[in-house]
Amino acid sequence: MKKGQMKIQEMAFVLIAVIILFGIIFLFYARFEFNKVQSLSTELREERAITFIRTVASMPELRCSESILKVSEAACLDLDKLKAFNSSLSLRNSYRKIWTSSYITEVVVQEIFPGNSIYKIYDETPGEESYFSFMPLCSKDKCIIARLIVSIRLK
Amino acid sequence: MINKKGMEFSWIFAVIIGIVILFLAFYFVGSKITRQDTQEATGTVNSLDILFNPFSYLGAMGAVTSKPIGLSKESSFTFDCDSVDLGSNTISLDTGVSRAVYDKYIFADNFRAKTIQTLSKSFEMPWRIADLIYVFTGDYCFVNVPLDLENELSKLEINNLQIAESLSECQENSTIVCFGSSCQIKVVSTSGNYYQGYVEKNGEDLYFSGDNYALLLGAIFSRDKAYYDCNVQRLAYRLGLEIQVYEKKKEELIQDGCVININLDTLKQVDAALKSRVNQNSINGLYNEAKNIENLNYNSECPLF
Repeated sequence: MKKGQMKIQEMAFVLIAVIILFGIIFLFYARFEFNKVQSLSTELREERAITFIRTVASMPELRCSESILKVSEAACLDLDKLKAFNSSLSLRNSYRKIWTSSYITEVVVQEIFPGNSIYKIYDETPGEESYFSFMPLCSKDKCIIARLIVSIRLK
Repeated sequence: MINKKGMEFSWIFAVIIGIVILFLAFYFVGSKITRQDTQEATGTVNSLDILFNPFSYLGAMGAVTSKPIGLSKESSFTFDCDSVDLGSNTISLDTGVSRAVYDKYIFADNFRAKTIQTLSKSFEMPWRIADLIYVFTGDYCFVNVPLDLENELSKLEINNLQIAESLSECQENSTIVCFGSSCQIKVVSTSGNYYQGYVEKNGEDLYFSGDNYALLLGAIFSRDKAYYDCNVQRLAYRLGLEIQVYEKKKEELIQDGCVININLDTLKQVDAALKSRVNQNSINGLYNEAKNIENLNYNSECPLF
């Protein structure tokens, strides 16, 4: 092999090594960027889920009517409205877009005391992470303690 | 000779590799900048959606803050509306990033701004159907506002919303809204008290009704008639769903021994009429039936809402 050819071959090997090195650095960087974007996305979903609990609790479809507690804007859930959702799949599905657009996979109200009934508002699949808030659950003549649970899909 | 050829080849080889490396470097930097812009825009649009959440459950005229909301950087926002089923409002940025929101009713014009003013008011017909969100930038001047609305707005102390008694009191460059007289945006009452009427804006009539002025304000702050009507149709669809909830609640209450003489069939019909077409008749029809049901509910032993 001539000296010139040797030099070219050396250069080619060096270049291949440099390209491989840059490739590896790029892969690490891409992974780092991907994780950063994914954690930003998870953070946004979590933020949305947390603010959404209050939104869900104040939805006119679920919230206590003025007539129940005799005050305007009573911060409680209406048991009869929950029963309406629980018994009607078509009603639950009518609101599907609201939930799916916020990556929410499940919205349920669980009685805590007394009783332990569960009322489904939306139930696609159990979520990866759940957030909840305690709420009074009221009917015409009584209130009980319940938990409003919102589950989200993280990825 | 061989040396010369070898030299030529090494030069060509080096130039090609150099071009490839430079291309990759530019491509990498370019795509990184683009990705960062898209990432920022996605964050802005999603944050705006989250920021609007508190405004969508106030239930009464309210401002989470009467101070303007600052965004991370000046951006151009456009709002679109789709009225199929629950429908949606789409918030888009000039970068092409957009987000559809299905649970909010945003009455706004397209704008480019770094700070925005947001208000919220519940839409009741006859019960609270949803909370409407009004987003605006720039200064507004309301002339000859009905007293109850004036009191509500004054309490909020919003810097860029001036209440005036005559046109001459309005600041320069503000968008003037006149109640009863002619100017940029004219509010016409067909009932004498601004509970029913229309807003005349850019040659279009935007019909409203309701005794808490929610739709009236929606008409004032909306981009145009098509956008406003679309949101009204979305609200009509939402009312349709809520009627189903209240019908089931009525069944539950009757099973518990309640006597309820509230019939929601007529409300369903007028709601369907509004869903198919927004005009003075359909919107007044809903208002009149809502008032009728409100009275029945008030006098009922077992109120439905």
